[in-house]
Amino acid sequence: MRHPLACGVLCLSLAALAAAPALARNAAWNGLSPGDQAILRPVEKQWNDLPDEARARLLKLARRYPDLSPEQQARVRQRLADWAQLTPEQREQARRNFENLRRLSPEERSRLRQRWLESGPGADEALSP
Amino acid sequence: MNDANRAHAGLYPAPAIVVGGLTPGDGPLRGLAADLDAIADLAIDRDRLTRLHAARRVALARLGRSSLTLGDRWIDWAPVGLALALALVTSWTLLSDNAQSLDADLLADALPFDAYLDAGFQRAVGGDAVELLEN
Repeated sequence: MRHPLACGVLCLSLAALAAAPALARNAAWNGLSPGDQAILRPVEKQWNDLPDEARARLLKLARRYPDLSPEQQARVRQRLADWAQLTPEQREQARRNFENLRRLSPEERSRLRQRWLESGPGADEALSP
Repeated sequence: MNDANRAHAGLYPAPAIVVGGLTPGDGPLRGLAADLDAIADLAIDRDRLTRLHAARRVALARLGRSSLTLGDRWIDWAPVGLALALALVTSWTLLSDNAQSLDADLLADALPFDAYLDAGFQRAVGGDAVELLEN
């Protein structure tokens, strides 16, 4: 082979790019660690049918779970099953709106959250100018 | 006839006089070494430069090419390629990591994720938030 180093670099890069999805692809429910299983228990039934990307995201969530406050952990446990029931489009929409909210100033963010919590779901009128 | 006598009779070449690691028989190498020294000292005179250009032309002619191609110089570009590949992989990993962390933040957020699916909320965070808050 004329360019062994270049080929090596290419192979390494491709292997690294393939590594993350491969982790999720191979992560069948029975292959998860007991700790991950305990956190992801609400989605156990759906787990093996979830797309690789969704599994990778949930695994990431499970890894971050110990760093969350007890209050946040309770919210995650409570919402996880419903979250997994959403369509990929709905999850993407929620992420996009969450990111948009994070771009606002802390004051704007806090006031908008407060108004939504006061008016509740379907609050188009309350949130409209 | 022993070796000493052979040498004395001129049957052997003259004993090598080692100067700077080269012997008198190393004429071409001596010239090359001098050229390299000149390059190292950035003191290339016109004759030497002409000789170097000529040597380069001869070398390229033997390769059958008019100039060195990227493929010939891959060893020069391999570290650049490696750095680029590593930068790409690192960027991709960081982006992927951030995207995947988003779900944890979203689910742990004080607002239920229903809020982020609400049309009014979407309009508010999508650009109307400032007007909304001002009203």
